[in-house]
Amino acid sequence: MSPIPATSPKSLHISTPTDTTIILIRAFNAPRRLVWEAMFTPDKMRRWMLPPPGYALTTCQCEPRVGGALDMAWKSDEADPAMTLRGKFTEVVLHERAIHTETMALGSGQEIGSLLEKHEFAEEGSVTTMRITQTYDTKVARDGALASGMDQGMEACYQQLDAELG
Amino acid sequence: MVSDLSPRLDVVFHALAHPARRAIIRQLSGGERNLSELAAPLKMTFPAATKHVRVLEHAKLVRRRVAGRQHFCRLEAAPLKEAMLWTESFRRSWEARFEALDSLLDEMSSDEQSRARRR
Repeated sequence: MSPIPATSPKSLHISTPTDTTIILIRAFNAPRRLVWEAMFTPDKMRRWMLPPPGYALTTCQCEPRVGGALDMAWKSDEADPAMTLRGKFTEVVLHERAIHTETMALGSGQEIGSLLEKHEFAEEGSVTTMRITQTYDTKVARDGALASGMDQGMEACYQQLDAELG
Repeated sequence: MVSDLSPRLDVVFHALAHPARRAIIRQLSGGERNLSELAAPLKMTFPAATKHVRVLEHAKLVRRRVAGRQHFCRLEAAPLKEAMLWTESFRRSWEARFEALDSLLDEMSSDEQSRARRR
């Protein structure tokens, strides 16, 4: 496993080293024990896992131990649940590394994608660098994930443009 | 929106996925170059370099004009911008999450400190 490159807090690095992977690297001003707790404790997850616009998080379960479940559900104005995410932890080294599967499905049960997510944490001088490696089944799924924020991204761009033109 | 964008982006990302082609783009960011100028630093044969230029042309990242026996290439930045915008949106949604995580961690750190003081 390659060492996690140290980075400065608040700068997010995204790379796509292969056709089916996305790597996110971000540093936080906190010991890794706290970052771990924030990432994997349900009442903490609710605080930062911002739902897509129009959605609200209804179920949030997370047991970071081998065989433990990840279970999340969102509702929208039209459906409850509108979307679910289910997975299992396959590898856990406390405060250091966690690997879990996840499958997203629409409320109707139709699967919209699955991936393997690996979290790794390295601490140096009270700064924790976290690396998330997402491995998708196919390139199409990976590209879909990268494009999934598109509407939001475009909207933000348009707003910026409006402000410039205003 | 995604479906009509992807095929075009496929071509752009494929074009960017080779170090020689990225080197060509870097060279062209300095201005127009002819084919032999592009081939020289790549340590490859002229036909091999030309093949890479053709991939870049196909992705509309490079435009070629012929003047006499010389082929001049220049960079077309628009598809690059599109590719950046595409990843940018993913970055934006994660950045929003991580900013929320920053404030949560601040709160958790100060909670912990005040608990330690009380002890």
